[in-house]
Amino acid sequence: MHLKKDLELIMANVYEAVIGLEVHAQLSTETKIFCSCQARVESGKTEIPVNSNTCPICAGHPGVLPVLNKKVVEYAIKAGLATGCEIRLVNIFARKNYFYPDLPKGYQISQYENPICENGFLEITTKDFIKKKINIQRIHMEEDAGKNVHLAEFSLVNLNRAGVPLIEIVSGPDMRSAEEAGAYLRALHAILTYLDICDGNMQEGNFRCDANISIRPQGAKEFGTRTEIKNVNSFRFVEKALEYEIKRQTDVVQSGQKVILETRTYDSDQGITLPLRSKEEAHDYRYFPEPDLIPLQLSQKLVEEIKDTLPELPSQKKERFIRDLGLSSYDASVLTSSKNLALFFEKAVQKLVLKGWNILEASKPVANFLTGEVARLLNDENIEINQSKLQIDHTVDVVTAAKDGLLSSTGAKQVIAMAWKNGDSVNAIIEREGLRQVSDNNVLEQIVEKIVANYPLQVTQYLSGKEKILGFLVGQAMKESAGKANPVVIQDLFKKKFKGDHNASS
Amino acid sequence: MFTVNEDLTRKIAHLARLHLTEDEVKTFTSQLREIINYIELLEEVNVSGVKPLTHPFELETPMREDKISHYPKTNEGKSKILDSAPEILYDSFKVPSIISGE
Ligand SMILES: [Zn+2]
Repeated sequence: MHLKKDLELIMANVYEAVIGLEVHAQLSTETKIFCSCQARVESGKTEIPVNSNTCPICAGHPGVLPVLNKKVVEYAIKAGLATGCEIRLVNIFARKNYFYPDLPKGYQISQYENPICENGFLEITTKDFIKKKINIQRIHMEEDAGKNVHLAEFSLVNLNRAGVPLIEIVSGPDMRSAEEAGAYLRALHAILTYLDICDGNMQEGNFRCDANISIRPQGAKEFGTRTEIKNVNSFRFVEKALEYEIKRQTDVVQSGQKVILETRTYDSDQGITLPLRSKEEAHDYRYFPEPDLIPLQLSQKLVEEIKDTLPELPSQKKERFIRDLGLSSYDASVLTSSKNLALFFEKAVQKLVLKGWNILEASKPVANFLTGEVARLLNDENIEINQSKLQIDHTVDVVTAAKDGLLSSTGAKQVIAMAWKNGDSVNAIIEREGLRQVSDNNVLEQIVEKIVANYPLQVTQYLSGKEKILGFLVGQAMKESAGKANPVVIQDLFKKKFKGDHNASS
Repeated sequence: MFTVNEDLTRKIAHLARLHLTEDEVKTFTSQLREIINYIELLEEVNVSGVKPLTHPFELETPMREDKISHYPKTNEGKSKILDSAPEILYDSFKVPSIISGE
């Protein structure tokens, strides 16, 4: 954690970081961008056999022609509309030329001068609850490359991924810290998954990030020399890689040296960035208009139609949760940060409402349940809620049991931890672990009597006006019940008893 | 404006992964120069107000529906695409090593 401390000191005084992000998001269409081969591998499904989803088009055979997938255009427009972009109606594709075995044609079909979406923005909230607008310069459509396996003597190429549709989303150089970059990535990820146009699994490469980063003296106008950190596969690693890189560049500059323009990679085991083998020649992609594709002509009517299909977006959902469900801004932010978590929350609340709960009464405890213990577990394991064993019924049952006084707050935590591990039902866990909170007055009255008999001194102190001592007595009663008593009921019983005694003695 | 010289020819050849002999470099340099000079005639045309043209026909690109259609498979269930590869290993296209020897 020294790194972070150093960083704050350095950044506060002398330098500021300038960060821009390029995200490659695989679109979740059924087929590839220019041929009818299957594109999508559902998350968690066993990998499809090597080279089984290939054809002469995506394998780059001579004489074939690309035909554009309509859905790719629709999805790219959705991404643009959701981020406030202008949508370009006449699009041309471009060839980006380079040689690599995973690129069978020797060029990638992309967009260059005229991307489909431009001049959008995204609003992030930093951890200090400060809102900041991050510009989105462009979003363009392109095809993914295949995959290589490098062996000692040769390499093996799998073209299943070649031609899978991508959108590349390019931010402005607007972020000033690793934390802001992380917030931007999470916000963008949420938008794309809410739109249902990207599966968003970073480990599986559905959502990949390259970061451009430089430092400059505070207040300077010009940018410093940047480095590019390639393909980091989790939000946390992006933040860590950037923190490391800011520190490294600062050290380089402070020791009188110059930052070299280069591509670096993040080694998550060591927590450092390392230079990738630099090519002796600068990239010379020789973009030119793709002669095999005629310009794509879109109508404003189509754009309007797509606009009408946009679902509720994270920021809108957050506002609604605050406005209609009475949630705090914090709870609403946590819940809407992931589409899966937000849906889980809404379904749980809906179930309680169907059981006769008032929607406001249901929302608060379900939100507490999810943004507390559950959010911590999700964060620790770095998974989405639908990848855990926790079911909507667990939430509904725990919240109901707590309301009925059958489960204390510590008991609820224990139940969540067990359900998280083995997925057992809430009732089974309560019974097995003996967590049922006792609210039965007869049993509890006996406990109260016993405590009063055991602690006469404290009782006298209480009766003489030292009301704070009640907490001690309730604590003893809880201990006596092995934590199963309902503390609210116990406290009431003490008060009732003392009031009665007081009345009797006066 | 740039000059067409032998270095430029070598650079272009390298980008296209072509190996040229010194004689070929000389030949292609003079040919490239002729081509560029010819194309430069266009510089004399006044194109202010003319929209850039990327394709000679005023057509709209056709689009396809997002429906899967698999390329034929062999009897063993493997893609026929592998048949045309000069070398195959583990159903992958086998290519010279990319990493070492750069
Ligand atoms: Zn194909």
